[in-house]
Amino acid sequence: MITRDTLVVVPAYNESAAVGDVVRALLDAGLDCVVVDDGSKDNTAEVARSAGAHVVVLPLNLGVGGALRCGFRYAVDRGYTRVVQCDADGQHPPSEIVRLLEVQAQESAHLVIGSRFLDGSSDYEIGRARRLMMRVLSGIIKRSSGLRLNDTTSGFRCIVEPLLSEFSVSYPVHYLGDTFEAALVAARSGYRVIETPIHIRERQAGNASASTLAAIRFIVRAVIATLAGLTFEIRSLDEVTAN
Amino acid sequence: MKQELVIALGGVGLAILVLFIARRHLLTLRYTVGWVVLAVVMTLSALLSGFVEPLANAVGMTATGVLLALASGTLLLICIQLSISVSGLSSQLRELIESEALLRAQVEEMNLPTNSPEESGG
Repeated sequence: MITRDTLVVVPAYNESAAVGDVVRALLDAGLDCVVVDDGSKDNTAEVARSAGAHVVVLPLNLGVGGALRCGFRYAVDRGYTRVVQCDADGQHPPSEIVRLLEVQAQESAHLVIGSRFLDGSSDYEIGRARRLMMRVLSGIIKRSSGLRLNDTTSGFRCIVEPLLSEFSVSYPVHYLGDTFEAALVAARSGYRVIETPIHIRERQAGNASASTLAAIRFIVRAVIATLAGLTFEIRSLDEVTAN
Repeated sequence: MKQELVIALGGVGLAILVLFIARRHLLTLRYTVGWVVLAVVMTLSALLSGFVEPLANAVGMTATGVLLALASGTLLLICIQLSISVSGLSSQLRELIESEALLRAQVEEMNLPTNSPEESGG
């Protein structure tokens, strides 16, 4: 199900230890990929480039959301109609990307979220704070959009036109806004959002960045943003298709 | 009377400080005006505190209290205005960073020589 309309966007911040292998695995699987170096202090960009990836270097650190939006713009500018976002630390094997693309094609979804917690996904250990956060976030999404999601913070997703163009213009930069809020806004704006189980590997290198404090802060922010209608905005599917 | 004098002196001090900073080009005219107006209002209303008296009596505060409340209210407004400016600036900056990165990528794909951020950064 790999076609030339698909680009894998890999946001990378100080991932020189892992990004080379990730890029080579993607290219071996026949996937086009762009690494968005998010203002890294190490030589992530050079490693990615010499592994054969297209590389976009952000001169300052924008956070995952900013790097992703830049990747989406890169994809839209070059005529790609489907993007898979994939971590630079080697957690998302190319075989799973191919599966995500297959599910997308079968279901004609605009946003496919690879879930670590659905039946059939691999065992994935998370802490208690994080588990509570996931539950609260799932509840918020269900209440405000009717969408049932298990893994609201998964960074493994497939985004398809016309949602891709909307995201390339407007996408949140704050912590986890790119995952939870993006799914919420897409579902609320009438796009077809689905979830599929995935198997992810342990991180190959680097450190996970989410701490308990950040999780709590994010819940507070998510609740305020959703209740007060402060989420980012995109054009709804109806508006886009009407034009 | 002592309190009014202190507030008036504070106003004059603020005006001098702001103008000093502005003359060193650390503050643009847009922001200088707001601060100078605040300083002038603070000074004048302290010196003319007799006019504030009826208002103070009406709300059950001292004239000094009213002046300080007005000054803090103005400071609050300036802070909110600054927050709005900073929010706008961060999204503009983000836009600019992305455009620069995309342009650089495009140039590199065309195989034209570019400066790396390390070489051009200061």
